[in-house]
Amino acid sequence: MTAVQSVPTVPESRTAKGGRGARILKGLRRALPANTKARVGLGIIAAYVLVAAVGPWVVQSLMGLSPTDLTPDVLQPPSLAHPLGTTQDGSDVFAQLVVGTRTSLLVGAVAAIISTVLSVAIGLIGGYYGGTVDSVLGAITNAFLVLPGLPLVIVLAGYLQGRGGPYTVALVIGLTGWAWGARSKRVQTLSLRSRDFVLNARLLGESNRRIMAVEVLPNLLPVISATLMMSLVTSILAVSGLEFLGIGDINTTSWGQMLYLAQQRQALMSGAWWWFVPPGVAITVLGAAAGLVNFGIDELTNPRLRGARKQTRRAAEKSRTAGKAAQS
Amino acid sequence: MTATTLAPGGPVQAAGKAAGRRGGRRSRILLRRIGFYLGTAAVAITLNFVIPRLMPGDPASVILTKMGQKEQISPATEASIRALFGMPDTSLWQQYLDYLGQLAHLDFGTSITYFPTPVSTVISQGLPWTLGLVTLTTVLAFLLGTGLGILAGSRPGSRFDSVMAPLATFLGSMPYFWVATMMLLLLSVSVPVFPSQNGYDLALEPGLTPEFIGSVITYGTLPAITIIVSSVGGWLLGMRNMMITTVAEDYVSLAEAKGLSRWRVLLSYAARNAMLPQVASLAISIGSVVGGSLLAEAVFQYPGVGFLFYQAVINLDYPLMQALFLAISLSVLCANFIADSVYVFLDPRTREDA
Amino acid sequence: MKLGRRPRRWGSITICATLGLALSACQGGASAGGAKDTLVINYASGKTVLQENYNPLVTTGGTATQGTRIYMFQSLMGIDNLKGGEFTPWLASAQEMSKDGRTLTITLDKRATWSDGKPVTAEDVVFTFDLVKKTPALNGTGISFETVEAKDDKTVVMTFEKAAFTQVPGILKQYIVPKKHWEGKNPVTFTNPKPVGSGPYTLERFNPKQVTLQLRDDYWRSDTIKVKHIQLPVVNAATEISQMMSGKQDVSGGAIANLEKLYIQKDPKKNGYFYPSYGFLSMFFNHDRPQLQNVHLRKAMSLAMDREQQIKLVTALGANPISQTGLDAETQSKWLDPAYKEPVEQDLAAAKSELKKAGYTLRGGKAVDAKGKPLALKYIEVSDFADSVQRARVIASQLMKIGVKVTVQPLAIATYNEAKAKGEFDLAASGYAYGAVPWQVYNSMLNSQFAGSADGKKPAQTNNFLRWRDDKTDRLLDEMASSGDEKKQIEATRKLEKVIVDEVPYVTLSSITAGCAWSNRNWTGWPSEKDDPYTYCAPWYDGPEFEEVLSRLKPAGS
Repeated sequence: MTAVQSVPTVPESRTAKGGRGARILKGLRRALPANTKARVGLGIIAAYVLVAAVGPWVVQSLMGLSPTDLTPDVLQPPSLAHPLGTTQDGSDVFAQLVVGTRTSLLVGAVAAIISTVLSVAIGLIGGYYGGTVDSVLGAITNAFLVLPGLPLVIVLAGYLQGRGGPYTVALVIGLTGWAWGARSKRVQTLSLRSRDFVLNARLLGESNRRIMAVEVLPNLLPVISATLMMSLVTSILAVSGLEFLGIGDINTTSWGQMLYLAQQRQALMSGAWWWFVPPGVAITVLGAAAGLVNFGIDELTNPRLRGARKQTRRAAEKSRTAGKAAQS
Repeated sequence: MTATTLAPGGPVQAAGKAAGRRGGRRSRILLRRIGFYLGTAAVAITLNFVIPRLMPGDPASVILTKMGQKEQISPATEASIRALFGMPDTSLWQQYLDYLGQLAHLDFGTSITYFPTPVSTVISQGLPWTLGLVTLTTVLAFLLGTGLGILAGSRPGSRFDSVMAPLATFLGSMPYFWVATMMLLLLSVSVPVFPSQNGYDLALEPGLTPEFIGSVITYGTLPAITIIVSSVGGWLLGMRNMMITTVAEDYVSLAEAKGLSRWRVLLSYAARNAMLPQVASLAISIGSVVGGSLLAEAVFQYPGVGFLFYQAVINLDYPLMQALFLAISLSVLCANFIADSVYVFLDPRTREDA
Repeated sequence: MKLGRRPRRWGSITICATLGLALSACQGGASAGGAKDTLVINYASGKTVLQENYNPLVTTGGTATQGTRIYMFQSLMGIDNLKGGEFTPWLASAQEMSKDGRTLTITLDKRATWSDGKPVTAEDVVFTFDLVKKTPALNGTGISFETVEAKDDKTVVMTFEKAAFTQVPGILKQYIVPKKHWEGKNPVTFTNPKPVGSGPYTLERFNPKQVTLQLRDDYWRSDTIKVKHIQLPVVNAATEISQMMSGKQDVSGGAIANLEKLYIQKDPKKNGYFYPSYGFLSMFFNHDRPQLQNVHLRKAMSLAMDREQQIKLVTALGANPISQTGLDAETQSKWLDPAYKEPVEQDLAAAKSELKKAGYTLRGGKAVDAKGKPLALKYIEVSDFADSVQRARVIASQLMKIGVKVTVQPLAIATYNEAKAKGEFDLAASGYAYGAVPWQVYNSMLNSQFAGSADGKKPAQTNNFLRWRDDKTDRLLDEMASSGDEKKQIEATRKLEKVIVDEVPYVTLSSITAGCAWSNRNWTGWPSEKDDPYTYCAPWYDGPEFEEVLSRLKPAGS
């Protein structure tokens, strides 16, 4: 029980209990829409993905707005022609925000996929084999967990100097940000390892690799998707932070670059709130959406949190640790 | 699935381990913990060695060229830079030994940005600022967040709770640098209450004078507010959820039934136990608070290590950059260790055994 | 129920206490700074950290010197671009070139002393010129003479092998250092930590965020200068205007975006500016890059630019598009061939046809070469000069219209200077001040002796970061230099103008202004366009101009 407390991300706390994993997952699938917070959170994230997918086309082709075109309409407040006003270049802020959503989400997704793949590999192998392998991998995981991530990313980005564009930074973030996920996946694998179907497969002489891939991995999917979502948000924040510092590629349109340029070109002094508030809000709302989903999952797993009378001893600091993870 | 099979001594599980295994001793836990942190420090030191050697080009030559433009490089300087950043002709193992030797002497080479000041001097000037700022704000945010969390969690669904919980989620999601920018706008530009940059009034001679201390407080306020605003939400939510869970425990109901005042029950029974995971989280989250404060420092040009770090990166000051990475990592490890040890002493399960 | 109420109060008390502490603290500190005899200047160093380097002889490399030397050191004379390039006395009170252009006599100001109390002597001047002559890294203007001698304590005589009229401005603009403190030092790397100079101020205190200077007691002009202390802090551009509006900063040499709207109009009585033109701005090519050696490509890029838009979006106050030669049709009309008077107009059709001649075809909006490789160029700029980065982005966007993809890379100033010197760029931009004669600016930009080597081993120098190596140009520069006859000089200059128009070694964008935005909350007496345009007030402007401003400033309300 106590071990569960320390686990940073959420769903494994259910399945860590052993045999109930699959059942709870089914329940989750049914229950998720029932939880308003999770539903709102997922809805917001879905909206972002939608904007990233079709937004640039809508804005550029249907509305005729360009994120990069320079016009004489400098620093215009929001109007019908420019829903979110214009920048110091006379570029449309709304178009930048929408195109930036795609860039930021793509970069975040690349980082998230890399870190999730790493975390699955390390967590799965460690949890499945146990023993020395687990000790070594576990020590490395814990080391990466306590080492501050952002300084490491900044150092690497400092050497790279924008070489390779935003995706190199994404790679770096992915390579450094896997520890949280690895830990949760390890715990879950541990619980699955001694389950009947795994033991059966072993008795049948299945290779370890196959058992991991066919029997264990599918059961990890809920955890994986939760990690993926969290690290997407975390990575977007990290990339935006780097770009805001001026360690990004100034030639791309993204939320971080918008904020960087807004600050550089004295948007604050001009009172051009429409320039630097939207990207910040975009990031915050995305982060909050992830927080809501976590919150919702917490409530599902810990009925006490949503006001039910049932007593549960489950630890609940997860939502806060998850929220913190999103900050770094 | 008992906790005993868990991780090999992570910062937090070890506590669970102790609980699971009846014979766990506090000292043993602490020793284990020390071992883990020493191991992690070794990882940080090794990463610091590996990174410049993995990077494209030859950072050592780049650094030496840059320095050469400013001043004649002494053989000693060149040797220390080579030891830190790579010497193509020597074996990697020998390089590693040389590098460890450098560290043992606290010789991190010379900063390019602050040429010709040694890196160790530059960092020792910046570190107190960040340590002060981060420690103070983390403690304040922790107390504030935990306090508000107790209040929110003691009556889930109350008006206070239904405002606080979403607000905390939102605050916790705001990026530090954006909060910093907004603070700058609101409290330095629109209503010029606080200075917008630096750590103290540059016209003053640093010293323990009332003016100087006053200016340090004034100049530190905006960075401090930024960090508190961005990190308080996490503590609040964590404590709230813990409280909600704990308040429903039997012993709390029992205490209530005994007729103890609600307030007393909340604080001495529920909150006290709900605190434990909070302290555990403190250890884990220090790294991210430091990361966030680095960005805030860059915005406010606060003279701590975050701003130095930013300087080092934009000026391609590799010696300063690497040393700062090491200094920050090791400081975070120390802070982690302290928080972890506090946890061990607070945890009744380890107390019983000791 | 009871419990539900208590928390709220508790919470608000905590918040109040925190805020209260902060507010009381801030009131305590607000009084500091802004003392009556102190002037706070943004000298636009382009840096976020200052270095302790007060070597006035090194002009490149982004040392702290660049901005601070005009307060602590002096050159022999200044060149007043507001008065058509007239010489103005500074450390020297007079100069005379013989008719044959081979003997220059310089008379030092009798009142001049070093800040250690010793008089400035002709020996110091001789020492400095010998040093410059034998140290190519310091010899940015190519000073070459046969002998330099002290005729007496305050008179220096310099002789030349051939007529050296064009060398005079460079020689007079040379900063002079005291022999006693510089003998035996490596003049390039010496950081001069305890600067001894002949200027009105000395170093009071150094902090990586601020240099503080103090008025000397024994400078001959000290009685008339009311500014006793100067603070040169690193300024955060994002909040600079609010600093000036609240009287915490008095003058800015930085480029403030939307100055007119955000600053002047907010308080026209207290806020002002003066931005006279002093030279031209150009984007230049790295001619060591094979693709940029094609003149048609260079022409295409010049034709693709909308110069009016650049000025508007960068909000460069007072700037105008000018002739491709770089010479201003008003102040430099004597030298400018009337045929080249008009600025290049944007003409996308012509630009595209030049691009075609250069061997590029447009495919999917991108210019690709014969092998199908898209043309991509790297434009470097100083990251802390937000206006310049903005200009770079505008240019990138304009060149995209003819399919030329330009990537803007902002760099820290030291890295930028290094990249420029080593040729690690494709495009960059720079401003050039007119000298006494056009030869001065053209020679520094286009003379192959400053171009460095193509392999990057020998860095480019002075202003020839273009790495322009052209025999015809060198010949014409020689021709301009060797004649004392203005008519012949004009003739040669116009021939060189033709080279610049035909070959496009660089693209002239606009005139460039030097000036300041000022606040008269603490100090009055600033120059302004309509009241008293007496001189340049840019606090980084190299020469005696800012000392003139300082001598005219009076505390507000006196």
